[in-house]
Amino acid sequence: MMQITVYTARAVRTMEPALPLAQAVAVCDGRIIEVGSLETMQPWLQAHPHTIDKRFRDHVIMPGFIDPHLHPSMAALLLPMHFTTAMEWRLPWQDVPATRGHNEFLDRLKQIDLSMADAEEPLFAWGHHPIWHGEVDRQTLNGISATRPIIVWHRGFHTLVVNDATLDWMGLDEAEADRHPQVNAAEGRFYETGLSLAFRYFNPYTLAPKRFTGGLERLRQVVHHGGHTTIGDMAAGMFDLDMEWNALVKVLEQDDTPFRVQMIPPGTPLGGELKDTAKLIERTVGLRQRNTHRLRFYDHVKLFADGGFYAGLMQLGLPGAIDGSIGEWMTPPETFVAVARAYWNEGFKIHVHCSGDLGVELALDTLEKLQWERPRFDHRFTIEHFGVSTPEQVRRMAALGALASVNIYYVYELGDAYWKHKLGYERASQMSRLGTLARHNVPTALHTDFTMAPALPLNSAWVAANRISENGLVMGPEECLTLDQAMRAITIDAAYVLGLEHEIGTIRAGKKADFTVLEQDPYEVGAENLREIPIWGTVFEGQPFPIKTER
Amino acid sequence: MIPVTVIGGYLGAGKTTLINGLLRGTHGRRLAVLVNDFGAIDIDARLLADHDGDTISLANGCVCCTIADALGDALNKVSAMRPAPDHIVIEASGVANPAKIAMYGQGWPGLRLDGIIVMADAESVRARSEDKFVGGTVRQQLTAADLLVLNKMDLLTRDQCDLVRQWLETQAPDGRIATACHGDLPASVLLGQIAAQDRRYQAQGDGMARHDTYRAVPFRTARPLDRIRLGLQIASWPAGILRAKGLVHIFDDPGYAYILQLVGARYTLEKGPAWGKERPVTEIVVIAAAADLNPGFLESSLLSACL
Repeated sequence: MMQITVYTARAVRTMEPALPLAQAVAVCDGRIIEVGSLETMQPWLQAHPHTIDKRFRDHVIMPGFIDPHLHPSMAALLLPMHFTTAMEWRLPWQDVPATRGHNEFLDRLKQIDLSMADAEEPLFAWGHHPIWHGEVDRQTLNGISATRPIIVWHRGFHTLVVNDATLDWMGLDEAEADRHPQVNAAEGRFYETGLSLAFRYFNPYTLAPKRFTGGLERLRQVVHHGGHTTIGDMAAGMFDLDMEWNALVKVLEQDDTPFRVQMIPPGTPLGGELKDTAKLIERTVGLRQRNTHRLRFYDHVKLFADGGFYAGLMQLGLPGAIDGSIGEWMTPPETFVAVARAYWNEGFKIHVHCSGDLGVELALDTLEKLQWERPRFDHRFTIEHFGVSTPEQVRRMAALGALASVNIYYVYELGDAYWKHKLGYERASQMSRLGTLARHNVPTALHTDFTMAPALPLNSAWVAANRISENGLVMGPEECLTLDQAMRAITIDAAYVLGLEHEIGTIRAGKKADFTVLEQDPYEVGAENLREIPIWGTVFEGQPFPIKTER
Repeated sequence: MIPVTVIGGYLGAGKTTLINGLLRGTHGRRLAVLVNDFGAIDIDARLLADHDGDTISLANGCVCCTIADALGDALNKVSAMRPAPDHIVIEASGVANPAKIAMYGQGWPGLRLDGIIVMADAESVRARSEDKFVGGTVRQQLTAADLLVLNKMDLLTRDQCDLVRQWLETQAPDGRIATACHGDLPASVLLGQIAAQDRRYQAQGDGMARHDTYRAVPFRTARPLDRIRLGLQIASWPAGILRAKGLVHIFDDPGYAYILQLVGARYTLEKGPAWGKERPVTEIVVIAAAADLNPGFLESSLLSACL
């Protein structure tokens, strides 16, 4: 027996060009039956029992937002920490204000220290950045607390600074630690490879199951709070597949979790050389046997080209970096081609992490080679991140049928820093070149790579449509998306990148009843106000989930 | 502290072959070898003592361990082994900067860096160093080397060998260069294990002698050495002088023996035990490519560092 629920709304923004605006959407068993008005859907309503739910009469219904690339496990590590960031972060349990200036940073640490009930509990603070906060060292942190271990972690994850109490807690011999070329014990500083030495002591604490599932619980709130109904875990099992999978199922496969997670596993071990492709494919395919209702592996796989963008390890083409540094390859190029070929020939949809233009070049040279060897239509080969690129590469992407999934937040957070320290203005202002992608009709999604950017799709769309950096400068206005393109990039085009456009991403009969319910209409408030729109909550597979703040 | 040697070099340079040779070798040392994966490790079943997933134990006391993206964990594991290994060898991935990997060896509790050995495929290294994608990576690897191993020399004509060697000297002006075929180098060159009775090392090869043969040259004097003069002399040694190890009687601290360790361009002089009742005497063994060694050169070089 069908039981239909009709949600009426001030506006239903379907994102379907054939019927962009409607007043009601009828839902049954988690699927959309019809979209239109109460009048047009009468034949359904006369044929089946139904209720009219008017709770959204002052709201705007949109397709559920999608972030095709974030990292739940990384978030689970980070979210139990205290945020002391130079940028503001809106988290479900608190609005983290921007902390700027050395004294303000120290005050914030003091305030956190005082707020913690247990005097022994280590204080992990994430978000320190010398450009904003000045240098801190062991002595500075001793001034905050002589007894509580305090660990200050750099925003870009390359450096840790600790106080005396932390060294005691770690039981690390100072002279011993000092021998490491990337540890300065006197300053309490661990950086780059020195971090591993610190993690040797911290991991048992930060990766303890209880803390990790607590972090995942917070991630669950973050994802809901941003208005998502689908996310992609774009390197599922990055630390330890079994540990992560068990925690993910335990925390997320619950009736009250209002989103699904598409699991995209890394296709080859990082840094590894390829020996046995058949075994590799078999392992990747075998992951699907784990699938549950919300957590699903499928025919998508993640590969890695060059090093990370925040870490400054991207591979740049000419003229390179201002400081002359060369980046890294996460996969040797020959291995990359061989692994990509193996998945390509098995019909996989391949997502490639590419930070710099030389990384993009490797991905596109590979795609061209594979197309030549064994042509495929509709292959969904996707360039992920897309920090630095050239206009010619975009044209080539269009010719080869590649898609883009872009971290636009680089422009906001790194625009100024990379202008001055890494790339110069011309290339820094054209990072994440969305406008060129749109002009070449390359299907383009926005992602946050959370925790590399706040998991707030409306915030991503706002940066995409305005390209305003954290200091208020407009960076590369020609590379802006229009409002509609930006909204597509967090709904239907994100669904397309995940290969789920037939199920989600727009509101039309037959698709999953996933909605994001807004207090204002993006098409009325305009591009410049997108990030201010309050979110009422979501509807996931027909069931409403209002956002309850924990504050 | 356990010495750590990092073996770097681009894919196909011969790192795995070299490591297979070390694991099979009759050098008598218990090595812990950290590799990226077991796929290419070739171990004779008769030598295999135990295999527990990420660690292989051999009958000769060596172990081989996978890094599996967590070098720190692997180092913890092997440095906790009892009895402790005599030497740890880390295979850097083909695109890693070995200098970065070496920082682990330098700074991990209980370990010290012995040296960075970077292998180069004589046939392809030059083209790779100009490759659009990996040129920067390969050049960075070459400059990181304390000791460069120019491998697969048997695939080149003698003229080509000379050319690639000359080119390599311009790429890594500070690095010392050894040549090899099939990654076959004596353990003494790779690990610095020098037994007094071994005066001559003959690398196994195809008999074409395009690779080096090695000699161990002993040096002994009761005269104290000057620290600065010694450094200057070492800096002037030719590229074929690959290793040195021994005790030094140093002028400015005559009560203690100093331990000299040299791997290619890198050397350390660290304070060792007190001489006590023993008469202070400098005893060093130097390993060099025979072709690069003029008779008497080392003797006069070291004597001129004495006071």
